[in-house]
Amino acid sequence: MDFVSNLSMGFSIAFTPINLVVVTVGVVVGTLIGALPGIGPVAGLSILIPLAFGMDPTSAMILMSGVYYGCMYGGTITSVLMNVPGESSSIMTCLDGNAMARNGRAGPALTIAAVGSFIAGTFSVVMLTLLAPPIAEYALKFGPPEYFALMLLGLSAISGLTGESRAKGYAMGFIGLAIATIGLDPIDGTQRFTYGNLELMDGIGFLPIAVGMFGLGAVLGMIEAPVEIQIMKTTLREMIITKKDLKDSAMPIVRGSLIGFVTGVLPGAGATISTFLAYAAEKQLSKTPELFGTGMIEGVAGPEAANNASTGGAMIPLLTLGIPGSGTTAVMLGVLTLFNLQPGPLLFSKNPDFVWGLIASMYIGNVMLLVLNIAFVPAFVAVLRVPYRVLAPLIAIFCLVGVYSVNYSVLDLWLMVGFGVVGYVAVKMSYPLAPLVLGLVLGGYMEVSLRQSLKMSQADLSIFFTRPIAAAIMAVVIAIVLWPVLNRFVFKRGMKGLQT
Amino acid sequence: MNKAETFAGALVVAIGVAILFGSMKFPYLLDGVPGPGFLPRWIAIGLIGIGLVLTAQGIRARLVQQGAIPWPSAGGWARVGLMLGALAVSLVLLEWLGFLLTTTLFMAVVVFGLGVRSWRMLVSIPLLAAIGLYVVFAVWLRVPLPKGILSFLE
Repeated sequence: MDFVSNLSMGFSIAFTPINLVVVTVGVVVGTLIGALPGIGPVAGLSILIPLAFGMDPTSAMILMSGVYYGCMYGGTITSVLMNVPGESSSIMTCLDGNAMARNGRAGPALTIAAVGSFIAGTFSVVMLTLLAPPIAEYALKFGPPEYFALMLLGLSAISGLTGESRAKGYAMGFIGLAIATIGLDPIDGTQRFTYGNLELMDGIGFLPIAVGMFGLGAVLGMIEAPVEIQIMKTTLREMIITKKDLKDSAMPIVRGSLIGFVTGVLPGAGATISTFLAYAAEKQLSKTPELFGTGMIEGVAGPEAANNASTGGAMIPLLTLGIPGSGTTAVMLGVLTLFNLQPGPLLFSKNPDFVWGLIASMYIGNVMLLVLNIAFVPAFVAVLRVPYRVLAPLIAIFCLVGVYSVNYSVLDLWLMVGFGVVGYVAVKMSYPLAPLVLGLVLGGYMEVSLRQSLKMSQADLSIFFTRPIAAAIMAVVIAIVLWPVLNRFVFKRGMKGLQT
Repeated sequence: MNKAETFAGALVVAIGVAILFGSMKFPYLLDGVPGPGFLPRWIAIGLIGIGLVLTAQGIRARLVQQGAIPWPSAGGWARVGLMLGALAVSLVLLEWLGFLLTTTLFMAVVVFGLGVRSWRMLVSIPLLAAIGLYVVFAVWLRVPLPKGILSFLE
């Protein structure tokens, strides 16, 4: 019963006054960020990095993850009441959630989303509690070749499987890796691409890039085409749900939790895809699929459970292997690196207080979110009424002061503005941002493990294919990269052959 | 041909070529194992290859299904330009004017530029923002924010 003692140690850390304040702030801010259209979890997390940087690492990560899963709750509010997704993982909720609101059942939609989110979120944290330690222990056996293969898997999955164009995803991933090579070579200290500039010796920081691309980029998107805010009214009394609602939602919540958790663990998938899958599953299994889109509570419960369950799932590869599977977890990894904490199997043995404090805080945060998202919806709605004319410059100036406050560097600020423009244009042209950030965060580690591996094998590349675990992971990587080619030439031709 | 897509593809190629030339200065192999030039060389090759694919997709736009790029309206460009311009001016002024004056001015200019005309809001929002940020960063996180010309207040 190791995890009982670990978890109780975690709770003793999470229940300290400062961490209780931090988790509350995190989930409240997360709900708000989730609710605000145009700002999703990645942007929200990026904007808050400087604040987190002023805390100790455990509190910082409690804040960050609170914002992360808080966002999943908050997105529902905007979807249901405004028919505008607060962030991409709430798109599916718009369909039936807003239809329920138009039928006068906004309250039950919000309540079942909160209840489903709570159950799914807690389920995923339980799974995290149970699965993370054995995975971390298993991963202790990994050497540089296995790590290199894993990081390559994370990067190629997020570059090649998400977004509209694979080529654009890979291009962004490579650019992230390229930026990571600027500065001192991690193995022998050669200066690369510094052109004698002292500030460049430390490399281009993760902070100005993440805050610029995600935070400032979101601000530019927000002011370019402002969303008209039209909010339906709800009162607390309307939040009550009937027994039938609960019965109809029970199985969708269970299925959504499972789908979300598994999707969260997989690299490259994540919250948004989990909601699509959960919605599709509910529609498939329903006796009345034609009624979906007219206010079916199943269409709200399933996806809302799924996006929350994905958060706990996504924390598993991040914490146990140090491999983020999405832009959001890449930002979290970047924050950990700012603290000189290297996530991975050693984190569990070296920093148990950090890991278990964080996990325990996620139980507390989910309880808080359940209460907040049932009892305080009107308060969150009030914040949604703050006009973008005020909100956008506020976020921009917060980004500016925040980035300055970490290194006191005006160069960082110029980088932030520059990458804000890059992020804004890239999103316009469907160049995905997550691969760049992942490449940037993983670049240094990837280079070290690649070169260590090749040192072990005297520059023989077969080391990645002769060790069983590395070979298995590399096989998946190759399948991901070659999938479109296989798909086009082998399968389609085969199909044609069958038809003629 | 889609100009923006072609340009973006060519830009990726150009970045790749620049990295390739830059990485020539570092040894590819060091004592028989990969040296500091190893990874940059391969990143450059990857960028050039993908950049060529993207350029080709841009030139022969009909081959690939791509949605039109949703460039902003004239008003949208103006607002984006206002925000970026105000940020750039703030960065130039930050260390001279100091944090409090710069943030107040930035907020006032941008909020006005985005269309707020109520005097009460134009005065209260910038002041509240500057004070709020000061409390969070200077008081709570103890960041030495630049004081600039207000440093005599110390």
